[in-house]
Amino acid sequence: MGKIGRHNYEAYFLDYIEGTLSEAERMEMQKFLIANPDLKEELDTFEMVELSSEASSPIYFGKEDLKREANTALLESDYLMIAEVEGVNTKEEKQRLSEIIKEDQSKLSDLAIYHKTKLKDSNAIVFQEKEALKRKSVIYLNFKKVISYSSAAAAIIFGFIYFNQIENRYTPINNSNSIAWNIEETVSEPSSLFAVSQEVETSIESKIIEESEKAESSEKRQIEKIEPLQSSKFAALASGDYELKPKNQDLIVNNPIDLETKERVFAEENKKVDYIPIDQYAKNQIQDKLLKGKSLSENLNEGLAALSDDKVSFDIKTSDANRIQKFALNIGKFSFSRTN
Amino acid sequence: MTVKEYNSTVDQFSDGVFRFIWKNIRDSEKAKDIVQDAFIKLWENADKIASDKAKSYLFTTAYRRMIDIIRREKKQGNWDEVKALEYSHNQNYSGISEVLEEALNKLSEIQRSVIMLRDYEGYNYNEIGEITGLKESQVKVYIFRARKLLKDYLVSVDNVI
Repeated sequence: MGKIGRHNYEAYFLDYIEGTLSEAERMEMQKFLIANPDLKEELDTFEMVELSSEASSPIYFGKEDLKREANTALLESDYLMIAEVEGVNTKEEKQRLSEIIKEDQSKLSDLAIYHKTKLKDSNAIVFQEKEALKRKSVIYLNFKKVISYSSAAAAIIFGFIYFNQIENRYTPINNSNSIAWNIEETVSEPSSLFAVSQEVETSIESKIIEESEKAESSEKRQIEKIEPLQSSKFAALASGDYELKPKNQDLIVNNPIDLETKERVFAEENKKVDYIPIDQYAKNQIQDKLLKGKSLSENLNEGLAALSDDKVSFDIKTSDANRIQKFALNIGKFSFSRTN
Repeated sequence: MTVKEYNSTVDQFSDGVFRFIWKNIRDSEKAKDIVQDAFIKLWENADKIASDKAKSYLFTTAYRRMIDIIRREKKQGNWDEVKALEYSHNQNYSGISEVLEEALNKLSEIQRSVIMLRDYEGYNYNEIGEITGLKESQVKVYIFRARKLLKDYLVSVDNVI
């Protein structure tokens, strides 16, 4: 290292502090310091700045701040602030966040900014074509059912109109004072049918003439027109020697004045005609072919149940004054409603 | 689901689905198509879907359709071009909403989707996972990272202004 002098004394000082000077070199350095007292202070300073082992291992107090959350890889403070905004912080995490903000007040403004990252609902953006997406209720009808119900309805309507509006054919009941006779009568009310039946009991003679005239024009009910009896025939008839025979051989009159007998035979004649009143015919057809032996209400109930999947309800909404505001009939997927 | 319930679904959710898609792809016509497709599928499956599940079904269907379109257009090279224009920086902000809209465009598709489902529609992590096909934990990560990016963007814009 050479002789100590003002050009190299620092090396001697360092070795002296580190304890690596030999005894001779230390003696030499002591003599040098006596000769140069100004450097003695510098040596003292050197001794003061000697670093202790503790001072060489500093403690960093911000370790926690550098750590990252395991899943998001965010800093703990960021993670806790976002979790706070998200509303998913546990009680412990809230406490930890509170401590972080206490230690560093600038984190409070960061938290405020995080709150601003929440997107606000914007009503400015709307879908303009909603109506095009909507669907209308479509009733998918079973064709057979449609035909069946339509026929039933038509028959019912027809029968109803027939009973009320059109000419009705009927057979009055025979009794001891009157004869049964087929007539055509126009009625306006079903309830007046029986009253009319009483009224139409007219005199026997007029009915015979009337019916005879009709019979002439009718092929079906053509009967032998009773010819006026000649006096000779009348005499023979009276004596029982003459039998009046009509052309069709169905009507046999033994006594021309026995009108009662003639009327009875004529009534029996009519009974033989294959005639069913139209209303009865319609009823039979409806009952046999459309209603299939069931009542109309049973058929309607079954049809309604099939359409509605057994889900039928009737909702009524009333006001405070107990007045109906709205009502709705819900049949399966179909709803019929009205608002007053 | 009845016709009445379906029509009610149109009224309630078509705006939300349209907004969700439009904010992702910024193309009104495509967004309309996606919304219409979603509702057609809902109608076709109306007998299988309960009305309380309709919203989730619509968002799921629309989201997946949107992802298909994005992927297809990325392959065709249209998407990057469109994005470059849309992401151009706009400094004429008048409020936090606009800045946030701008920031939203900086996010990845998945980050943008999950955060919109979270904030606009109020879905929880599990529901968002069902819509996007992600695990709940993944959804949480995407949302947290998205918020960090949004916050950084807000701070950076604040510094610029």
